[in-house]
Amino acid sequence: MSQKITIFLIIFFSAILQLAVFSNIFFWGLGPNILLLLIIFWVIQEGFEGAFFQNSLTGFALDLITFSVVGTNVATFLLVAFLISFISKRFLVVARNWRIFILTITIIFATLANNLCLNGIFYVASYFGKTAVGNLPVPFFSSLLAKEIFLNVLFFPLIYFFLKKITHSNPVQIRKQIF
Amino acid sequence: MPQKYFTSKTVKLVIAIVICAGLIFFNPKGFFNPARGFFLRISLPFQKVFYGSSQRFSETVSFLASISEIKKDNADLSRENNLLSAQIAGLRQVENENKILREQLDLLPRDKFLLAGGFVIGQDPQGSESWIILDKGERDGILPGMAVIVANGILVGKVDEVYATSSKINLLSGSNSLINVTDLETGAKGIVRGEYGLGLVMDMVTQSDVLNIGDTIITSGLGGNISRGLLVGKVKEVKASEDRLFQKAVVVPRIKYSKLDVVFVIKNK
Repeated sequence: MSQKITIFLIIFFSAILQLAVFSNIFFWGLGPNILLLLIIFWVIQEGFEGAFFQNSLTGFALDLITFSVVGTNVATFLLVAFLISFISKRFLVVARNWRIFILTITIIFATLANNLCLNGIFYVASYFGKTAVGNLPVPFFSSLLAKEIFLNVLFFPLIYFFLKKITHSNPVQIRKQIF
Repeated sequence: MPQKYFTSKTVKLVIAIVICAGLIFFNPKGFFNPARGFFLRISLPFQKVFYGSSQRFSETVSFLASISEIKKDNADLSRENNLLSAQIAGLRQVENENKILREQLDLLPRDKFLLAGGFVIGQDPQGSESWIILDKGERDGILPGMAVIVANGILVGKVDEVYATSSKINLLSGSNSLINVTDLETGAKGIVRGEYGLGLVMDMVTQSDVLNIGDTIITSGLGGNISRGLLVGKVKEVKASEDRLFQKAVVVPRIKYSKLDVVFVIKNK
């Protein structure tokens, strides 16, 4: 129970940070996608199934705060989590010496996949006349996406060590598969 | 198909995706609004504190970054101040003329707007300047479609969704924004839409209308809850539309949407 409360609080405050702080303090008007970084952390720590609850809850929170139709970010995050678990299982365990490099590639890949999924859902929904899916996501070929990738790579170590510390001090330890 | 593809992981993913697709395609838009409203309500105090602090932090950083330019700016401002003092005398006369013209055009004087002021507590995290969240909602008499301005009658957007204590404002620069406008100098009419946070475009202006660089664009008051005469921006560039049937103009807004902290909702038209 205390683990679930911790997870809920992490998601809640990350969502607020994303909405009210990061979009404000960065020069580009866009900050790192903290919620996506949480997903990456949880998936490489617990695997797809172990982090299923967190991933769904994070997507749901993002749908609520970004005024998107509920389901959009849940689906996107679950797909991204599935892909990350695929990569982490095959490469992170085997190539331990290349961990930082592979993690960077994973973050880049996850950001691209997240954006591609969002754009895909938006355009498919628009095609069927569902224009209420939310606001137009960052276009796939745009400098904004490159900036988001850069910030995500930059911020992941912070998120990683912060969450690692929190989960270590939590009485119910998060199961570790890889690290 | 090999059985290895039907793992519990894949099955879980497929079921979740199907449920999400169902929610996206069949769910009425407002179904989750109570949950969204609840989330916004509990996050409101945190958002207020965080947004205010980050604004102050951002301003401090901008100030520190521009400290070397302040001396030069000071000299320029002193010069400009003298110039403006002289212009004020002339503007007093224009003010009277403006009052008479507004009466003739049946416009509501700006000081007669029934305004509800509020603080911005969040904005689009994607950096596209599509929307902001205001700390005023249903309880303060805010309704969807109302115009949102900053001081001096500069239009910034329209209320989109309203919750008990907060509301979502679609900014003019957002991809969903469409506002009827007119050219103050030439009377050319058109529609201003957002260009994915990259600026504003005045579109659907007929070829017979005249658009000049530097013209002031204001709301036309047609179709909707937006009053006539609210300032949108200035024309920066004029070009033909892709199909050559219309003209379009790049409009530069008078304010930076990502730096908004206080805005006003016009409660009467």
